[in-house]
Amino acid sequence: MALGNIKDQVSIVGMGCTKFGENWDMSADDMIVEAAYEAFEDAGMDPGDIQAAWVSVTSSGASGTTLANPLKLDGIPITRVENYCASGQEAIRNAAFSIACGMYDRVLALGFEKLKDSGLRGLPNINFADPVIGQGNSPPGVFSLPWVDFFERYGVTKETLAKISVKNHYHGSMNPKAHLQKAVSLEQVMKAPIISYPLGLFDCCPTTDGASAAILVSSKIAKNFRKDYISIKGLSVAVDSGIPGYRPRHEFSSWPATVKAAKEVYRQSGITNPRKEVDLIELHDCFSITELVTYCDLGLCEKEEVKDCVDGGVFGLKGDMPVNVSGGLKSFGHPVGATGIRMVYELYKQMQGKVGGERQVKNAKLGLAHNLGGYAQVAAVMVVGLE
Amino acid sequence: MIRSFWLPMETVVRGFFFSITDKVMERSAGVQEYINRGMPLANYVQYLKIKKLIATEAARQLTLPSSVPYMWRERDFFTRFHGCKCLSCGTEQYPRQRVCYVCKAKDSFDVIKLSPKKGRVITYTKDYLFPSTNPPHVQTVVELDGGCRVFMMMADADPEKVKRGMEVEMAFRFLHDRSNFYHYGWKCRPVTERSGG
Repeated sequence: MALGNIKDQVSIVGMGCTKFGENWDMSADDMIVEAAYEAFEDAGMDPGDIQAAWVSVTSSGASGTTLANPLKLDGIPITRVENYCASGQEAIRNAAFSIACGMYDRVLALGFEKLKDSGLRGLPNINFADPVIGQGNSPPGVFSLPWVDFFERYGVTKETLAKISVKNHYHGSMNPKAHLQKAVSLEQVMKAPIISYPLGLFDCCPTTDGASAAILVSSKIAKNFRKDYISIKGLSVAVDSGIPGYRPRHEFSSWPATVKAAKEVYRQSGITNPRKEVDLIELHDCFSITELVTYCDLGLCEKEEVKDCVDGGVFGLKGDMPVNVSGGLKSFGHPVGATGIRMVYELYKQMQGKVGGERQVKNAKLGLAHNLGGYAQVAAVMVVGLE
Repeated sequence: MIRSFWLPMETVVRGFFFSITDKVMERSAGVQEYINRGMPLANYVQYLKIKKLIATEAARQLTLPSSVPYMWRERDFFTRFHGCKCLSCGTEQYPRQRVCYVCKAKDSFDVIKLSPKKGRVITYTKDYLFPSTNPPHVQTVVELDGGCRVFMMMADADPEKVKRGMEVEMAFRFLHDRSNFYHYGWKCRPVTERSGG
């Protein structure tokens, strides 16, 4: 029977995040130290206080030693987790369970990726590209596939996608840690070179270096560290069987992993109307179309109305459902292992009122983070809130 | 027809005899057909790239390391393009599965031939990032007659003419030569008039 609930058992009392970007003068170790020590300072803790750690990294390292070596953590359990783009949330999720079961009460979750040293463009050797049946694919190619359904059935156009990129670039232009800090115009996005139709250069997130960290404690002791801690209200991961291109009867207008993960997290956190109850969302906009499909998969709007919602600015800073006010993967960047954790970093700072300026969402109390990876088979959704 | 024969004096020579029978008329394409199907290359640089006479920007190796044992084990599915049909629910699927995608029945499959089937394009993209000698590469999701879904590269594609619902047939083509040996596999191809029969 199990299927219990993690709600209000685990809290986050410290977080860190490096500048995301082409960090030529930082190694993976440098970024790990930056992110971790910012988190330690934020929590008022020493590295020695940590009882266990989870490190998420997809291609830039393996094993808990990637964390132990730069931070000189001595002999504590450190587990490397990987689940494509959901890796960052997996680190938080597994760290949270270790606290909820009563084994530890102070743990570290850190994610990092060092993608820029290779000298080649794009993501490195992705584990799913089988020499025969995985041929012909690239990440934008794989994620672009819902376009036919949305363009033909739901009135979405390339311009609709472009508006999402414009929104996220605008948010990123106000975020000092973002990879790309320049607003772009609709015309620039529409006229950019095509990467994989209908996605152009500005519909795709950049290749980024970065690291982000979270210190989790049992909610029972959270108030000893700070007043404005945030607590986990729900955690979920959903993995679908089969690459969508081979799955019989798969409809390309939705990614079932997101739908299932969202449903489970809404059950745990008691959310019945996410658009009304959630104050801000950081979702996985590896490509503009991913954000569009995810609006529907998370239950924020119906497919029939998604174009109108985008046109009407529903998901911008002035709309009723701010999405990716950090700039999203689109302009904040996407060092794969770090992304899930830095999404929570944004929610954390927003709920503490520390963002300021135009990007600050007023009275943010409940936030949602979403990741989607692989051929879009793996999704992670998390809800966090003040108190 | 193939014969092998032995010479006397313990010299062994193996030779192949071919004789042409009426069955040759059942072939779907002869030399003239291939000539008619040819598409001009867009420019001379494409020719140089195909023939590897020019250096190109190094592309990401978007491939797991391959091996001969792997290709040999999966030869029926990778090279002969067999699929499997679930005996419990009838769903056709590719490549070989132990557990059915739909009804989860285990080890309950018939092997079926996918190469003679036609199919329709369900969705596609025109990819400039995937390393190809003549971008954009057209990547499709095809639904074959019988319902099997396959994620396929499209060969002989005119990217401007691809659309959802387009009829395709199967074609055995060169894939790549990474891991130091040639890999062949199945791609889809727009149906041409001659082979529509």
